[in-house]
Amino acid sequence: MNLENLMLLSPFIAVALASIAVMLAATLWKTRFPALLITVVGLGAGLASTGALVGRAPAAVTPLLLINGYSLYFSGLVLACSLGVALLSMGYFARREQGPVQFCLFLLLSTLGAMVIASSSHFASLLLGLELQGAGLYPLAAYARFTPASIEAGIKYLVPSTVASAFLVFGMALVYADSGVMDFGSIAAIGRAPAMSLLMTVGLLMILSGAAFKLALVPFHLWTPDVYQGAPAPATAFVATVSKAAVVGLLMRFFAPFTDHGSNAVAASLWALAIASMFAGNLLALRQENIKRIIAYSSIAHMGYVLVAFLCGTALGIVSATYYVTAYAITALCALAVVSLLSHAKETESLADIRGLALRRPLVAFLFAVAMMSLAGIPFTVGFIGKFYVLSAGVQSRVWPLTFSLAVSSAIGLYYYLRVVIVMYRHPAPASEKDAGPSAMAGMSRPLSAAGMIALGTAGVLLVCFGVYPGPLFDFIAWMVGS
Amino acid sequence: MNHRTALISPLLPLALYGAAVALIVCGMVVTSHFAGGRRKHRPTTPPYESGMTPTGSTHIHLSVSYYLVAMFFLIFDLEAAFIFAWAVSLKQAGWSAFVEMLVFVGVLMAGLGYLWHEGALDWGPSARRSKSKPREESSLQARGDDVRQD
Repeated sequence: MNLENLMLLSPFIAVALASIAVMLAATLWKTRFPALLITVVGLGAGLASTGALVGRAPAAVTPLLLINGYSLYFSGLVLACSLGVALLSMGYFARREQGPVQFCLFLLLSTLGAMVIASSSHFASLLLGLELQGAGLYPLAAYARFTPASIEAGIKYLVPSTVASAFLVFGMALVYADSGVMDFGSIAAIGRAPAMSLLMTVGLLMILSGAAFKLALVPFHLWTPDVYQGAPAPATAFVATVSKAAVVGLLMRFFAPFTDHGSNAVAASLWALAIASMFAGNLLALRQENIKRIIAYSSIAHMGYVLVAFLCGTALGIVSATYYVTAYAITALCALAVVSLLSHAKETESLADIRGLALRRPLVAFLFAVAMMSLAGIPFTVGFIGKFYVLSAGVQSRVWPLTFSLAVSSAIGLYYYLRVVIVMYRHPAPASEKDAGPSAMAGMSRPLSAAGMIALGTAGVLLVCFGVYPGPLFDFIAWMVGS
Repeated sequence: MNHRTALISPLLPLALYGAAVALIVCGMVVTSHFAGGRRKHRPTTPPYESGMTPTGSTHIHLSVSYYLVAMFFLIFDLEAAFIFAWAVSLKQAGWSAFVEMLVFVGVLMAGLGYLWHEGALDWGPSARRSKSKPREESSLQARGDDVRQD
């Protein structure tokens, strides 16, 4: 372990040190502020050192980790989203008895796992990253442990996730039994070969199903709505952004060689997963009355859109998929920041709760409306640009079934996204005002947390900026991913 | 044919031995069932607890600190396993391994300090129940408590 390697590992070291420092801070000071400060500083230091490493990439640190432009981009995305979630948790837990210290700890550990996933180049480091990320995510989902819904979310995430990990490990064992290699470079060489053995195909499909579970692709999506609904809002934001971004990074790194020619079983399964996710996600969201469940089902559909770009098998496809993941992460963070900011003792999550929001809090309602439009893919938002790139990649590669599915299913999606916007801009129902009583009214007039507003405002500004002027970000991604 | 017998012959004594063991054990159980006397007095039915009469109910609630102890054991046991492996190759591994081991033990110590602060080392039911009380007082109470009363 020489100095050069330590330099390359500096983002990981920053986050790991921050998690230990949070533990020590929790023992030294009674207040919650030092732990939050250390979390934000640690994630910021990780982000800064990720940026500083761009000049040094690509470089392999031990056979386990490969630091290249691709992994650095996804690490940076993961860290930025995590920073947003940490800011949200400040305001969220300020109004609760339960402190945010352990939340910060799990957040940091899970972020570290996500970074390892995004940088892994070997089965061992991939598994280690996935387990570390999961070990942080289960307690995050169950963090509000005095509410049964949160416990339910934790269990519903833990049990299927363990099964998915078992599939993944079994698949790795089969790949190793057939080929005798465990590093991604050698497996990519097998993927480019014209024919694959049956054992190899089965192994790869099992690995794919494990990854599809983490991305909540149909038919591995059953845990998603309950986990999104039951988890505390910042934890939901974490599941929606960080864990998705890391696994998409892995998926594109690991499975890209198998999509060059669409004749093998892996590419065919990815096609089926993409089409099923786009339709099932959008159709299941139509009748939902809960905002978090709507976002959960929409995340299923959006991961299907990402797969469309990825399955083009071209450089433009990879860049578009990366852009789309970035766009989705910004939008989901913006939408869930609103849910997190508006929640007081009870989570603000049903459509009835936000009725007439535009009259009470015009700015928050506007940002939430913009986020919904970005999810729907309406122009001047980053979601529209992302969808535009995905469609152009699809048309360029002539993957017509996927392209048509995307167009039809996103048209279906318009209904439930705009429904949320309409509810916010309607007059509040007089009967519900009376039922809500003085406590709800007090909640409506209280000031929103400043840290949370910073996260929401940044996400909102980026959402509109990249929607109006997407060129620099697209060129940056093309440069990072291409290098 | 020759290599087949070579394959079978080492397994044959093992199979015979296994069959003999099964036969003797079954024979002992069956013979004692039929030949042995049967007494149905009161002291023969309750479970055997080292010769004394059983006290209390079997439906006791074990405190969760049982799992904490198990977790501590796992942490320290794993730590010891890694340190043993490092210690036998101390000279060959050199200073870089020494630093790495320091980091490893340092992380575990930080974790232990955190657990200590969280009260994971205050075993016993009342220490966990009354979290707001000062820690010294509650841990003293814990010693007087019986686990079965929890």
